[in-house]
Amino acid sequence: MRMILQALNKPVDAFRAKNKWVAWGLVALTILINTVFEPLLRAFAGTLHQEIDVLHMLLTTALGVCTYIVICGVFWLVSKCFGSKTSFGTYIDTWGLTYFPTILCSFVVAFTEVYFYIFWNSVIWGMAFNILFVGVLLWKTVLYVLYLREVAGLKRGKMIGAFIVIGVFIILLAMANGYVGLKTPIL
Amino acid sequence: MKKNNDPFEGIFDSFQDKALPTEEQKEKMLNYVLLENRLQDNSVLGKVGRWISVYPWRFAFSGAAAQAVVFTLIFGTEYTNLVLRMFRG
Repeated sequence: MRMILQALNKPVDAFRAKNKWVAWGLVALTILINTVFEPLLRAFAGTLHQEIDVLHMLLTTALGVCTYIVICGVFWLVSKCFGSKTSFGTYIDTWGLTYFPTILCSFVVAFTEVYFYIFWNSVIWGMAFNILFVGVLLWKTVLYVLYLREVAGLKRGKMIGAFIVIGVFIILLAMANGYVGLKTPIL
Repeated sequence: MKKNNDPFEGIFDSFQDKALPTEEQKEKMLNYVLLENRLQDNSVLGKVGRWISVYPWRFAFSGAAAQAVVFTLIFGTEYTNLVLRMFRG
């Protein structure tokens, strides 16, 4: 519990502590909300008349795991080019610590996807979701910068360079994720 | 005068001496603490950075709330729908 709160409130200390079980747990939860919870909610809400497709769930879960490994690989490769000495395993063990905003996002996306007709054209709901989505984006960006600084060990110019290059890959992976049906990218 | 006959006592005493840091190690520790302190950036930017890095959600959601209020006042539901469409896919 203490480690989870640390990852939530003091990410820099969490990156140093490198608790891989918290990291992997958060990633697994994100993937499952995306691939299992969302289709179930959709099926039970019954508004869109969709069946539960177990094979598709398994496929998207596997793709989610792949995405995590690929993004860690991108971090490792790009940071290495910019002069970082961190090993690939360290990225696998720590990037998951930044998944709190992603979990929140996938949860909210699941609800807005299924019950979109409630939220459309409503100022109050629109504002609430606006704050949530933009907040999640800002939160993840802060964690991304801290991650590059603490885990990859990059400073100033090199960090900005890596930020931009990895940022391009993140956008590409997010688009690929959207294409295969992962509505919140596992990034 | 009591004579120390117990051989183990001597052994344990020497263990305890070994466990204490030597002068050289103490010097190293002091240097480390001083360096850490000097590395801490106490400019305004450094303080803001630390404020953001502890409780990052605090910064994120206050920033998000501010922009949501401002842009919704200017553009109304057009803006909120735009953001919903972007994130909802």
